[in-house]
Amino acid sequence: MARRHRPLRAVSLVFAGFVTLVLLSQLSAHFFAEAIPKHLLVKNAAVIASIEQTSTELAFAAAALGLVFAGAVLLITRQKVAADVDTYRATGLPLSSAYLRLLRSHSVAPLAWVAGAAALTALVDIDFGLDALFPIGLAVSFAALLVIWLAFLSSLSFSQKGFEGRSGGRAG
Amino acid sequence: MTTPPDETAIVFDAVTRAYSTKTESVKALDAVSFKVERGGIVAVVGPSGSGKTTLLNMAAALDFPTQGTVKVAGVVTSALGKEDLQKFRNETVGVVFQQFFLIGHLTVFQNVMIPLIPRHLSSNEKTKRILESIAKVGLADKAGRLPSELSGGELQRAAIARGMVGDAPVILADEPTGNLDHKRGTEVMDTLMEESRERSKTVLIATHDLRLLDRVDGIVYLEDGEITKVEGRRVQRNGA
Repeated sequence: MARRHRPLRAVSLVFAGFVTLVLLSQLSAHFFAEAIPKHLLVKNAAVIASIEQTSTELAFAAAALGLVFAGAVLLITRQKVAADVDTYRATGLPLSSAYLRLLRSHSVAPLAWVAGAAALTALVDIDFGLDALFPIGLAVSFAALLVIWLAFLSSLSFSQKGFEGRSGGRAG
Repeated sequence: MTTPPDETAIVFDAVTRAYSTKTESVKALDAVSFKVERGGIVAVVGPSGSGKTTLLNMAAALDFPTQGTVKVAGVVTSALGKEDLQKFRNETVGVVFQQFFLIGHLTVFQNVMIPLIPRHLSSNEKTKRILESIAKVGLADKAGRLPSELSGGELQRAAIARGMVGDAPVILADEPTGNLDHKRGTEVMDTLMEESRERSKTVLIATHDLRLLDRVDGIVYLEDGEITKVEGRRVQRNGA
């Protein structure tokens, strides 16, 4: 059985990967902030603050990298997705129907899984005060970016009166 | 007194399509005029770049004239508003693209289903029509396959099934036998002929395949965007 090529699902997975990195950086900060002071048998506020700062920097770096990578993949896959929109338009589907089909085809589920994992981690570790809002917010932002991107591509295609007939629409 | 039904399915009236570049204006079609009778099966032939695909896109309301008018099933395409245009593309014409334009992550069944999405039909009726259409082109056993699992000929037949499933009165096919061997090409042509003869569909085919010319009602010859000759039944130069 051949694999289904869903370009934006790949983008969603890239986003999810980076959100996972953000989450891991925060969890590792938690681990080290707990473990190192115990090992040293001293509560060193400066060490903990330094770990938390590094964790935050890592989280922001992962988020920024995620945006850059996913943005690049969005641009690379643009023509293929636009060809699908053109096909829907050429067969007489209205914009709303074409858009819904794109959303269903290019699932944002991986982002939902990561946001769920972040929320679960925060619930389990509520005492530590892990800032789950950051990875959750990031996952939601990435999902919103995907949804807006698809809306943009769909509107662009439907605003044209003619038909470009992109070669990228050829299957296989 | 009743008005006789319009027996003309496609009318091109002095249609010019010009594309402007930074330095020049290129005419893909130049003052093209012809009409096709309802139920006719007509081939548009000419070398690559002669304007065949542009002509078909015009008839499908996927492109519009710079000058002149295109009338299909009594409708002037350039006068259509947004909603009517969608309805026209969905109900009046069935298009078979040269590059197929099948959606890669959808199965043959799902690709063929696309024109039926906006239709108010029951799920059973849609399934019945899709399976019938797929069976007509000989892909009944491949309905669940993805386009990447099909050969070039099978992709073409899937595209033809999608063009026919909507039961549109006009079928526009760009090189429908271009990727097929003689046997399969004959079968596809048989299917299009059957649609034309038994269901009164008007079929306009852009083709390089000279084997088809014996089987069509009429032929429009195009060269450099201009009609050089029109011959056969059910097609004539407009105004002639």
